[in-house]
Amino acid sequence: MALLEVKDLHVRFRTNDGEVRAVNGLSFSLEKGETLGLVGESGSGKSQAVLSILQLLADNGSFQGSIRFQGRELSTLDRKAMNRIRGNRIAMIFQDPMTALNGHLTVERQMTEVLEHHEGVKRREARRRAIEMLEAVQIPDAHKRIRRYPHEFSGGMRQRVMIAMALLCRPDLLIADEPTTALDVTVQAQILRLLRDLQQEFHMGILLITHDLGVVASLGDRVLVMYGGRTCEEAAVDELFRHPRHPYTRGLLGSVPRLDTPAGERLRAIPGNPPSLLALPPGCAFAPRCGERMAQCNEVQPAMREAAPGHGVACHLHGDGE
Amino acid sequence: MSLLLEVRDLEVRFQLPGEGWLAKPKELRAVDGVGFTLEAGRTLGIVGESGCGKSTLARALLGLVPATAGSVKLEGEELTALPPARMRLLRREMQIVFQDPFASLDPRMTVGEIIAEPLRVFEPRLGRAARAGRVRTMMERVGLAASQVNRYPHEFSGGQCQRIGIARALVLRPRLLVCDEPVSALDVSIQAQIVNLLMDLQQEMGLAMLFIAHDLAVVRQISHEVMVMYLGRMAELAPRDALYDTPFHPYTRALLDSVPLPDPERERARNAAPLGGDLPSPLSPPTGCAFHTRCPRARSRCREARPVLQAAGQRRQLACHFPLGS
Amino acid sequence: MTEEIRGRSLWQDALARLKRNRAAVTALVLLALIVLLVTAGPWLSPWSLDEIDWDHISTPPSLETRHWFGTDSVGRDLFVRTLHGGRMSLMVGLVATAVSLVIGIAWGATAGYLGGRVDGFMMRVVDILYAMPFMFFVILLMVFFGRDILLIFVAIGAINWLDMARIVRGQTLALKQREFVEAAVACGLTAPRIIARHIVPNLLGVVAVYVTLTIPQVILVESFLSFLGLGVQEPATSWGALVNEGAQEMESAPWSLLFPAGFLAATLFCFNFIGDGLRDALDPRDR
Repeated sequence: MALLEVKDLHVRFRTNDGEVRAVNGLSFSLEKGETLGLVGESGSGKSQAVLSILQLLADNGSFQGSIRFQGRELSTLDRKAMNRIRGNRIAMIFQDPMTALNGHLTVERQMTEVLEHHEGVKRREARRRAIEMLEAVQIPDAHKRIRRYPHEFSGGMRQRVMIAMALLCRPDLLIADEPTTALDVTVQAQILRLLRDLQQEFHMGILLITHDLGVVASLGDRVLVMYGGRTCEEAAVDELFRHPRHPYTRGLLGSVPRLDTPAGERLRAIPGNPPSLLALPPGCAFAPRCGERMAQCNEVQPAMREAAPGHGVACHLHGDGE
Repeated sequence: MSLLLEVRDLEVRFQLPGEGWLAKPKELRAVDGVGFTLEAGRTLGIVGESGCGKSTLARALLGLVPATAGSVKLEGEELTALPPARMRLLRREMQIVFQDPFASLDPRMTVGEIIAEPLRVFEPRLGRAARAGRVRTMMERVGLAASQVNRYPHEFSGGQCQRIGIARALVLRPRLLVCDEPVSALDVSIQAQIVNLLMDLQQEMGLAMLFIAHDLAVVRQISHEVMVMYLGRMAELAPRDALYDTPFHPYTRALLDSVPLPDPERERARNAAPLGGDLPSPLSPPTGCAFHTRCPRARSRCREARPVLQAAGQRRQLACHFPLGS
Repeated sequence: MTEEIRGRSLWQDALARLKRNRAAVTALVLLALIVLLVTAGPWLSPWSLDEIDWDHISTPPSLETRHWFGTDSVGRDLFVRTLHGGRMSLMVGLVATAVSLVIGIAWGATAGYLGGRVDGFMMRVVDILYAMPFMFFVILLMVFFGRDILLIFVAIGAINWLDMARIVRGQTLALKQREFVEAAVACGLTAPRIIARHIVPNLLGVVAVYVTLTIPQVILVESFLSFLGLGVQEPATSWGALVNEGAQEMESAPWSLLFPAGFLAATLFCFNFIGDGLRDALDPRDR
């Protein structure tokens, strides 16, 4: 049984300008101990998709589709049941640690609160476990620093505190939404290494959302590329980087400057702009910018097909087994 | 190639109020002894992490922030002590593109008005039709449809707003363009478009560019020479290939090793431990060499004495007691 | 040449949002009706402002006598007087607010933008003036120059600009930090030009909301002056003066209080609802 199984997820927002179709038929599954990277740019729908897993969408948002966690359907749970899962079996870390951390409470208070609430642990035991977790995320002098307030930590340290808090109850699934985007590159390297080590230790599944291809290459086992709220391509990480098939994936890989290719050559940029989620084209969302588009691309949405074992592509250029 | 910009021993210090009633004000050395030269048609990339002072440096060069010490010479003319009227005139030669594409545009003005503003300031006698023509030409040059001239910034995407900012900066054909993280806030696929655009415009106009970013790969793409900064100080300056292929400063090496490559096999093969520690606060920099607290090669000398910037080969400068390869 | 597309400015966006706010639109319509009434209404009535109807002193509203709002204790028609009073109150509100706007924006924007010692000095002036007793000042003016209507405008405006200056200065300080102001400096614009072209237009939203609060405030100040006997001189009248007179007749002739007070309250309500609506419309929260 897959740890997480999402089928045909649709997310919509009602705004004054019309209906925003953020996610349009997303399906994927995640196994225990595996890291799935959701790669996409702004407007790809990746963040909204995972927020709907935890029912954290804004008030004007709604979703439909099936979200099964350890075989249990999440989309129909009431608030109380969802609260028991959030922070406990499924945890989430964000780009900005201050989203998750309360600036007015000490780290100790915030962490012990989580344990007391979810596991009914007494204060002293909760404190011991909190310090243990802070040490696991490599915060020096954890037993002293735990009494401090979030703003007294540096950016990288705050990220670690947020990760520690997320892992307190040993969740089975960790959702990481752009966890290193706001960090300096040397600190990012530390956090990526930390996440890799923690996953090995705790054997949790990680749903990693990022726009950075380097990050997904570093952490991901499988990758799902999103565009316009839909999946373009899905494959194991090695396979995707070695044999990208979807024109968007290829375009993305070709437009990113890299340290290991000859410098000074012009980048092969993808022309045009990301799609407006208020008015998605009827056919393939990427068609307006695709250099290889055909007539049917503008009219018919391509279905996801298996181009190679374990490698799915949603593109009219690629059929089954191509 | 004439020497366009010459910077020597530039320092920018801020006085911050001290904590508590009677505490002395604290001094923040945002830029602490930076020097370089730049010629027309060349790009100097400046990389560094938070607190390295690169953004302050950009603003100090343009006089948007006062320099506390040192010299900045534009075509031989000293900028640091210039009377404001003369400085304002020189602004037509040096322009800036900012990081946040929306924030740098006045939301109440149309695109046409935004791009036309420098023309109104420096070429007031230009007739309305001529001015509109210049605006239109510039818009098309940066890849915007001229029919959009009456639209407002909030009606455009991030990448398009950045093009508007570039158009505004270049409408007077300045000699120097300072780019402060111009693509950091943009989507990956749009970054490439803007980088290509800047490279094309540089070739066309013979611009000297100062490209400031934290993304080492982007800087490598566009720069001829690269400077690495740490906590307001210069760590290393070298021609692009020399810096990326054979860095001398341990910090440069650590930066290069930290960047995750879009290549899963090579990422897995990388086993070197990432650089430990946190960036020190610019308010209380370490003694001696600012990097010694995190440097794998640090020795007692590094704690005691601040390394002096010295020549280290062809057009290279380095501030390190025990550089790599020594 | 391709046709130029018309853009959608932020003001247009805000207007669209405002139109969706039912309370604000109702208030706007009501206010427009009141303005229409005070402007054109007096022509509907056969009575004039100070004409005394000896047969009908302190009479309740009736259709036959054509005293639709009744008469006051001297025998003057209240319908006409109420509407004339409205003209006066609204005019005072608008003119005094306009005065405070011009001075306040100029003072506040300059102080905020220039900062440093200039800012310190300019705002200390505001602080000192603020501390001065307003009534004392006005009474002094009235005593020296008589109860001139123009003087009332200026006096009230001269006090209200202090609030406006403070608000504008605060907004300017915030705007100064925004990158497009830095960009304007980098483009070589001089300070006066930056203030005029970049700071002030971006302030107008906040100022507009504040104006809808100032106008009622000013009208009330004038009412207070009337209560003290320092307001407009007879036979001219204002809502405040009418309310003052009506309060004295409250038990025997409630209509003489009801109508002017009703108009006054309705107008103040309208301004407040419009101000609320404007603030919501200009605050791009769901962008």
